[in-house]
Amino acid sequence: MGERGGPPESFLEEALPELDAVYRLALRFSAGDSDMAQDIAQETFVRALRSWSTFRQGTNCRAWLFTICRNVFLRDREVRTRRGEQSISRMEAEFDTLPADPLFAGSADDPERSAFARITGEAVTAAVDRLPVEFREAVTLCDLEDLSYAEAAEVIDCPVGTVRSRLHRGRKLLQESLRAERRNP
Amino acid sequence: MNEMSGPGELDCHAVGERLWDFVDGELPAREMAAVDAHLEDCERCFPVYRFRQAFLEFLRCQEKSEIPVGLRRAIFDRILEEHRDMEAEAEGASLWERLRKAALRRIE
Repeated sequence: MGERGGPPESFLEEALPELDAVYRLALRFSAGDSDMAQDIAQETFVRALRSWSTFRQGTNCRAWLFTICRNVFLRDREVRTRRGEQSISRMEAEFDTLPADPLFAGSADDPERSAFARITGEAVTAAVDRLPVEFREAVTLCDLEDLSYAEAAEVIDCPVGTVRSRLHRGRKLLQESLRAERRNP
Repeated sequence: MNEMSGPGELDCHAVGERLWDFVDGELPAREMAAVDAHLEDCERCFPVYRFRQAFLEFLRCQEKSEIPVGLRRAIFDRILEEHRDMEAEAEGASLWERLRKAALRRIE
């Protein structure tokens, strides 16, 4: 471990700068609940410090922290569900029954820029937060935090193919949600 | 590939299935080239590709959420507290080990 009087220098230099990214991820995991996200972010860094000796220097620290953050979120969600504090969102309950759109339905009609012109940042965030959690985490990791399929697969601990299908489905749901937002702001 | 309509060519259905992967740059090089070649000539698929590309650019340019005031300090304080606990545990473990060895020596 590091010198007496403080955490390891390497932890301060490599892990702490990722604080904003970890908080953002926690915020999306908790569907915009800032209090929950702050708790998750704090617990993530505590656990990261405890297991810092297992982190291989030179590898992707952000992805490593994201993995810890996800595990903290899942454990917290399990506890809350057992306590009856959390219910599955309506969209999560219905997602299996959502019809798959024809591949090119609707998108070819919209000129690229005007398709998004009236959509606010808050609307995008809210739409992401409404996604079922499996799709939300794929969209957040790949589209908002710029991880590759392989990096996201490591964080989520699933095959790359699973990340791909969740990401594509999540994007489709997001597009539908934002298209509805554009028509009815 | 079954969906080839000619050497190195893909049809619209095959391109549609690969389009997100193409936008993400996650296809093998040969398939990237095949999709690229199809998009150059296809008036149906190219607008879909441009829309999806614009959609991802739109998502990625969204302003990142601001970290709440005080959270940075709170996390740093918690890290310092955790580090002190870990050092105390290490010292405690070290003391316990010394007491255990002393007890064993007395027994021997």
